[in-house]
Amino acid sequence: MTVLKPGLKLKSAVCDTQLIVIRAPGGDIDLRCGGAAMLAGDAVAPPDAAVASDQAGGTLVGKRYTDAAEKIELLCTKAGKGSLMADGEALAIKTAKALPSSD
Amino acid sequence: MNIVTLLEMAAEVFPDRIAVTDGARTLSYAGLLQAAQAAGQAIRASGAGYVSLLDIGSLAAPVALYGAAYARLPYAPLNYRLAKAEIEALIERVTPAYLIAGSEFSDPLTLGDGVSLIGREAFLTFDPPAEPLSGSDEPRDVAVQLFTSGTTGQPKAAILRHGNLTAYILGAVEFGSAEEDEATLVSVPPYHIAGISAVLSSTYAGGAWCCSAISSRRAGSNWRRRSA
Repeated sequence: MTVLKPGLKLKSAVCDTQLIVIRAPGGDIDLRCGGAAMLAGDAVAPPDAAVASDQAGGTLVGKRYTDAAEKIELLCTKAGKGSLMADGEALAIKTAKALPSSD
Repeated sequence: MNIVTLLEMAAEVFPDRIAVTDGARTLSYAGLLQAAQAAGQAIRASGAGYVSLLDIGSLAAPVALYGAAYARLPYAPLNYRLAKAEIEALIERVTPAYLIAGSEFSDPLTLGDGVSLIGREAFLTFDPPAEPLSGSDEPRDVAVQLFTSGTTGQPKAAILRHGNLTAYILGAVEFGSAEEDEATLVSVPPYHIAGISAVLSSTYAGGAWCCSAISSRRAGSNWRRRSA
C-alpha cells in the first residue's frame, strides 16, 4: 500500500516499468505492476520476483495510465512488460476525449 | 513533476537523436542531458539564486533551461532588445544571478558584484558531475520567471512552475511523436514564452530543435529577408 502524491516516482518490482504520479486521490492505494506491488524511492525488489503471466500486457513510455473514473493518473517514463493495476482495477491508456459540441 | 523528467525520458528512449542544432553544431538527447547536468553543477557551485540568459537562440538556451532546473533555480531569460539601463535594472532584480550571455550583449553593461557572468561558448564546456544531479520533486517550485515587456510600467515577473509547464506539455504533446528526421525551426527569441515552450515541446516529441541564425537586433526583419 502506498500513498500516491503527484510527482512521486515509482518503479516496478518485476520489470523495467517506471512511472510518475500525475494525479491521485488521497489515502492508500494498492498499485501493482506485473502483479507485484510497485516500489518507491530506493526500495529493492525481491530477487525471485517475476511478472505474473496474466499481468503481462506491458507499459509504453510516454503514455498516461488511468482508471475508469480517472481519479488516478500515472505517466510511464520507462516501458516494461508488466500491466498496471490499482486496487484490483486494471489501468488503461488515457485517450483524448471528444470536445463537447459548441453549438 | 519536473521539466527535467521530459529531457530524461527523451534521453532514455532516443539517446542518439539530434535534440538541438545551430546549423553548425548539434547536441544529441544524451549530449543535451549531459550538458544540462554539467551546467547544473556549475550553476550550483556559483551560489547564484537565479539563472539568466541574455542572448539570441543558441545551443546554450536549452542547456540553460534544463541546467537551471538541475540547479533547482528559476530560469529568467532576458530581452536583449531592451535599452542598457532597462537590462541592468532587470539583472538587478534577479541578482545573485548566474548570467549566460553573448559578449555583444554583455560588453556594454555595468554589472554588480552579485552577477557571475559566463559567455555562451564557455557555458557549454563544463565536465558532467560524477554523480547525476536530480531535479526537485516539488511541482510548485519555480521553473521559469519571464518578464513582461514593460510597455505599461516596470516589467512584471510572470512565474511558471514545474507543475504548470509539465501539465501543458503532457496535455499538448504526444511523447516521441516527431519522426527522427523532423525538426522545428525556432525563430522566436529565448526570452519569450514561445521560445520556452518550443524547447519543451520539441524535447518531449523527440524531434530536433533548430535555433535560427538570427543575430541582428532587428531580428524580425532580418529573418523575413533570410526566409524570402
